[in-house]
Amino acid sequence: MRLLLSSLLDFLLPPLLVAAIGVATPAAAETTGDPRTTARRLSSAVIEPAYGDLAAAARRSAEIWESECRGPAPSRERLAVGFVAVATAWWRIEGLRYGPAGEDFRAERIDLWPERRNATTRGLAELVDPAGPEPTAEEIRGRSAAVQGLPALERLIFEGKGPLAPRVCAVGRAIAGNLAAITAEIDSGWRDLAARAGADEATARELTARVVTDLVGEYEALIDGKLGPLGKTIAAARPDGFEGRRAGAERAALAAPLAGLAALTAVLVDGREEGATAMATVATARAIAAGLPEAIGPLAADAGRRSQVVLLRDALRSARDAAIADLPPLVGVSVGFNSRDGD
Amino acid sequence: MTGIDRRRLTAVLAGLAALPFVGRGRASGRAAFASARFGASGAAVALLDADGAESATQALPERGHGLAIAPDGRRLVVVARRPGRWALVLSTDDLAPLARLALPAGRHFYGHGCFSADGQRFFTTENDTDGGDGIVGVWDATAGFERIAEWRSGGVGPHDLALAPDGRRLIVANGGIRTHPDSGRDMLNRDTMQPTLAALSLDDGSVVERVDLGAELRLASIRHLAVAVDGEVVFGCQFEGDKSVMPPLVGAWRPGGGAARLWEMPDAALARLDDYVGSVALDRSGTVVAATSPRGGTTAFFARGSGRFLGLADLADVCGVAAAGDGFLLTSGAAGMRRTGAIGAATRLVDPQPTAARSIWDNHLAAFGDRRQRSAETNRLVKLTV
Repeated sequence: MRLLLSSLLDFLLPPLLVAAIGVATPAAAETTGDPRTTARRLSSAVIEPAYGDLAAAARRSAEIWESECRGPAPSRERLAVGFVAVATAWWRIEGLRYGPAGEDFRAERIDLWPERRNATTRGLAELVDPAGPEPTAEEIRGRSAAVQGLPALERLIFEGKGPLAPRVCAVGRAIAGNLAAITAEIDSGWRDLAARAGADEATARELTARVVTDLVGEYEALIDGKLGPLGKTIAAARPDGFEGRRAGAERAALAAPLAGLAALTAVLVDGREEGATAMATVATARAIAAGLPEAIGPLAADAGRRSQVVLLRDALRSARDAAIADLPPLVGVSVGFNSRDGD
Repeated sequence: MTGIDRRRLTAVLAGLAALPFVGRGRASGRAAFASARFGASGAAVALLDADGAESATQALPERGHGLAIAPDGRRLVVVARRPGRWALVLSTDDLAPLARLALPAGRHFYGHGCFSADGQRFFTTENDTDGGDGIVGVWDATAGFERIAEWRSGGVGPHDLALAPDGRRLIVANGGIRTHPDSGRDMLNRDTMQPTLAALSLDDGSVVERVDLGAELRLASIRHLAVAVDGEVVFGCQFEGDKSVMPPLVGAWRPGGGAARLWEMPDAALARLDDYVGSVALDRSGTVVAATSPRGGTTAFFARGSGRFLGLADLADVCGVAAAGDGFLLTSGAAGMRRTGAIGAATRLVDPQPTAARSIWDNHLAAFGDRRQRSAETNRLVKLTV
């Protein structure tokens, strides 16, 4: 009876459910090597440089705001260059919520998107009101997350024309300063965490497991969140709802995270054939994203061109499924199923 | 539909021990690594203590969902996740199977069940697959769990349910989502979806009270609930609408006291829940509410009386939650278990403490010996593993 039960279950369950749930089998776990090596490679090849780039871009953006606000006619064009650099650097690594980005609501303070109940609009209106005291970066930190990061800066820079008014510039300078401080905290916090993972096996295993979990979660966020405005049907499309619309960076808001996902996937796969599908599918999604125009919103409601974005959504689903099937066994971790298959 | 073919039931029970997918309960010491035995034994239910040490496991036909413990603590019912058609009654001594609920044609389970206060009846949430109405199945828990009645649940897509503290009413979370087995778990009624909370009389199953969240929040599926000793119902929602709406997801309703209300949270914290609450529980004092979000990898805590948000505790893929000690036990599909300490009026959370267990835990966690069914086994917990 026991043999029959075991054989039946082995036949029926594992091939489907192991793939669906993303569970590392014991055999796979035995071949994954020292978890500290994987953690070190994830950090040194992808995460640490990404957070370093983010902090540097945010610091540079803050300097541009300082410089422009000191001049007689703050230039939106220069501020826009700094903004797109910070946003792109963030989008590349936005999916990683393990570690310092997930603490103290740093990720939400950097990019609370989509906007809820006009919170960014209302918060900014309050800040730019000349009746109130001019805000500082420290003061911004105590306000709603909706006015602490990229969505607020995007509005200040890209809504309106001509040089920024002095008060608007002061608000932007404070927000950019706050953003630089948050990203510096993430940068230094990650280096501390990576050092611990490099020395401690349990921390390394946790880091790798969370990177895989967050990687899968980022696919979900791209499908349901960033491509949410695509709608299930053309009638449900919201062309104005895509992230980065004001900055003309809608494609970048999708392409940058895909670049980050591809980089993480490459480290996790490490050239092994068992990860070929995960590698191929994320490459396909990147190629489709790269072929889109910068303004994706208009495509969503255009019957003739909508299929280009639908194709990207399908490719993201394939890449997600491949990541769930391929990656956990390769690095000896499990990603669980509650977040993807609950009730 | 008030009964089933007795010969068929007898045959099912007689054949229970021979069912290929039901293994024997067994003591397993600290066999807490469910993922390691996944390939060999598939889905299982386990008894464990508050430190994660398992004392018994039992194989299941497939992933189970809700768990209900009889008031005397001697029986446990595990219900299939939707659209499953099985529910097993197990002994809490060793998880040996005692009975299997025989569902009539045209019905499937929606994932949860609960006992009456005297333990003599058992109630399950179900779907009328043809008509789409929500159903509460009524089972005789004294005689092999024979089906004795079925009631309308007061809405569509009933999911979680719980007994009111007076033992005379059943509170049902009608999630509002219509599904059909032919289309799996796909939502068939987005345009007309209307979740409700309903109070049913245990005398005759009539709906004595029902509330919804209003037209603006009709896409907030009310999925899970817990009932406090004073009768207040706390509930958690899963929002099916546009991401930009991001409504509050946790709230309370006092039957007989008017509308249900949702509790506000800071935007950044609410964003972390990612429009999804997977389970809710009260602590032993009944004053603190925990609502888990597996998608957000976090648990939100609230003061029940005021609805004040107290804070978050992160745990990747967290979903199961139950009162434990001064706080809660949280279980995850990817990151093991965590204990929280007391979470009182202060907004500061006690740092979760890791436990030795690291299993792939499924959605729900049930505790022996809560306020209404306290027993000597106050620290024994039961949890599904896969």
